[in-house]
Amino acid sequence: MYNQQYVTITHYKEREFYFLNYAIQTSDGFITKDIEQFHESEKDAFIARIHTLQTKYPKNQVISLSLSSNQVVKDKEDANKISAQIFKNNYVIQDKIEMGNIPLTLYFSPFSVLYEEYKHKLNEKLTLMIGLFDRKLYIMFATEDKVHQSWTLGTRGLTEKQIADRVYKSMKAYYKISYKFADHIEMLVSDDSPKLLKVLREELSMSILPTQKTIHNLLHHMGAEQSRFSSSYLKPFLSTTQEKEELSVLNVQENKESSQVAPLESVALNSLDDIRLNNPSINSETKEKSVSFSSKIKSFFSNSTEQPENNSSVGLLSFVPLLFVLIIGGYFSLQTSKLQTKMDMVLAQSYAQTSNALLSVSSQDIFAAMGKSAELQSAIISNEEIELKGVVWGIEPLRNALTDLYSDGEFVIKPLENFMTEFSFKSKV
Amino acid sequence: MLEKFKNIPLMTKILYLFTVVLFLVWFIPSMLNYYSKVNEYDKKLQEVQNEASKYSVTLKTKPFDLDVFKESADALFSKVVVNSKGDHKHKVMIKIKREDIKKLHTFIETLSLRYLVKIEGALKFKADDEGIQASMTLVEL
Repeated sequence: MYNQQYVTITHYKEREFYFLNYAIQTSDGFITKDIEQFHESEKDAFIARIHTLQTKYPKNQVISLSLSSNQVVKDKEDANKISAQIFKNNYVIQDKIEMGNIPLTLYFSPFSVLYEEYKHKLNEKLTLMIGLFDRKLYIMFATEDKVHQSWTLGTRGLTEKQIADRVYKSMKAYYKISYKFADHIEMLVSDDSPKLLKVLREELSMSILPTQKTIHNLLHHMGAEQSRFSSSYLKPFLSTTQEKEELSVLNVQENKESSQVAPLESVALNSLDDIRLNNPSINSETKEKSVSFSSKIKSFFSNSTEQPENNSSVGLLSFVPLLFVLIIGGYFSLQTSKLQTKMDMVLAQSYAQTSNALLSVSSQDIFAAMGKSAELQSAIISNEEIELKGVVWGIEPLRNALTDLYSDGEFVIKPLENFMTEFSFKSKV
Repeated sequence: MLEKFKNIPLMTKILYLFTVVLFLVWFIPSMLNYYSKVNEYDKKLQEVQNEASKYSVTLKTKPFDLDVFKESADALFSKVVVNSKGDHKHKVMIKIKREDIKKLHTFIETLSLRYLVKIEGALKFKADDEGIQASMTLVEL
């Protein structure tokens, strides 16, 4: 009995937890089972549980939601990126899928889910569609024929009022681009947050009726019918031809179906193998996408799709490292300057001490040279030159003593009238 | 980590980049320069202290004070005259007996270890029957 049932197994990761659920799809809708929660340390048990469910229900789809903030809706498909068609000429595009070895057959963008939820409400008026998934706002401005603009906004750490304020700012941001205000707002909230719903109603001037559905239920709905997901699941690295072929196969199969739910058995499960993320060929292709260092640097400073309104604002906390560097650096500079003053003083003292000691030594030598041979009358002693004058009794001993000290000196004697002899001595030191 | 960095506002990124540049080109050199100066200062100070201990000068070097200097010089020599010439310069005249010349030499040798001064120019001596008159110009450091 079990293996005849079509089952959608849904999972996603929020913070450090994996959330797993499965639902039995019937012609009257799906019947969900209890949500199971696994900590990321229990990843193996989580994977084993998915395998168990897959074994138990061979006709299954394992579905997840891309909660990456780097996804955007564009007019053209990018063959080098993962994409999903959500409108005639609109594609959700994102860079990569990183699910490791967690089983997966269908992977949806919140934009696809959002479109699926509100497509029947779209008309010629501009509608702002907002999805709140995992504390991120996925925003699309759309009319019945196309998506005009999309972006994602982070809400981590924000209050409900701040989230409402961001929604309002994104409306203003869009007005700056297109000079049009949204005529209508639709909001899909995946978290159980009555306060947020209340604040959104109060803060946004336009009428808004948010819808609250769990991610699991949204995914079970997406995976319920092949016609619903045949184009809107994210297809990694499919060439246009490959995709066209696949789409045509799916369309043929779809045409053969006589009702929406009845032919569940005919879902082409095997045709979705290309999006299995543990497919080694895909992994190797992903790894081959090398990014140059310069482009990495550029990407750091490029505008993120998230938070378009806050790019020019600087939080007070951002100044903390700068203040730290300025204060501690200033302290070191000030201390260095003070130390330099003390250092200059010590050097000057050391120099003065050496100079004084030399003067003293010269003076001592000269007085010693005089001995009993002469008597000094005047002397000028510096570290550059000496000049002596006095009365001499022992000319030769004095001359010898002085020329021993200063070999280039000029020793002059002059007889005095009182039968004494005067000497003078000059020399460079 | 890099993903988090990508998602922060542009101005904050610029601020962080400026901080990193400032840290590398100013903070680290300032810090290294400070510690290098501390080592150099300690080394020079030790040299001066070694010199002081060689002459048994135990007191810390003081800034030059005219009255204190005169008082201590008066205790050593017969007559001391100190005249300030301005610009932190002082003319000092010391009168000593001939046999006390050694005391004058020791005084000169230890002068800069006791006071933050240096002798500018030459020592001038004049001798007469009463003794020797030494004069010098001291400049405050």
